[in-house]
Amino acid sequence: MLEPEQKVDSSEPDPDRPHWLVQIPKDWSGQCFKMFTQPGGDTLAKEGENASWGRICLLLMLFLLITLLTNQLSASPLSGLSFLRSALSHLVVVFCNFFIYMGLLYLLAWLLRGRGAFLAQCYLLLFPLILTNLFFA
Amino acid sequence: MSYIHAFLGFPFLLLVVLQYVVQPVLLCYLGTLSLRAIMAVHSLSWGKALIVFFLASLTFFLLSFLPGNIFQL
Repeated sequence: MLEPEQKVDSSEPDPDRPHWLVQIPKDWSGQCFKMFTQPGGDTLAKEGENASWGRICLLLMLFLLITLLTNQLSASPLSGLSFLRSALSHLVVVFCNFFIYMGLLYLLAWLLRGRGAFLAQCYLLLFPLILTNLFFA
Repeated sequence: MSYIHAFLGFPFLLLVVLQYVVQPVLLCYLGTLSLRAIMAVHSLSWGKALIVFFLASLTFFLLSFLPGNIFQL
């Protein structure tokens, strides 16, 4: 005789699952490591499927943070209101520049009969861009 | 060369190696990775991905000369 189905309460948090603040950096570092050690077409195509606007925004914020930190560590660090103003102008410039450059890349790829997704392209190109910014700022 | 000279020269040598060997190699690797990403997303060949990358960078560079541009802080 079959047992009646047990109802699972989905609102209860899973005790084995780590907090999202731990899980997201852990996932990203793993994905980043895989992308850099095995940069094959399959790995990148698989990683492109995980792309989302939320992740892109978070990575752009990381990019912005690195830019601001490298500016602060430079010869003339800013303080107070001028730092806030600099941070806001960096925010606008980083977002505008990134999407203009990605738009250009997408347009040119489309002209050469490339039929990929804009979202995946932005997501995949952010990883090398952040590392380039980190090492060469 | 005395030991003290060798000791003082080591950080300089390390900096030179970092600047002229490690950084260019890393930059080449990251550039190649970007190309691979474009190839994987759009299913393009190496040549086409290189053309896309070059033309986009050139256009972006030329756009920065527009009057009243937002590309520079």
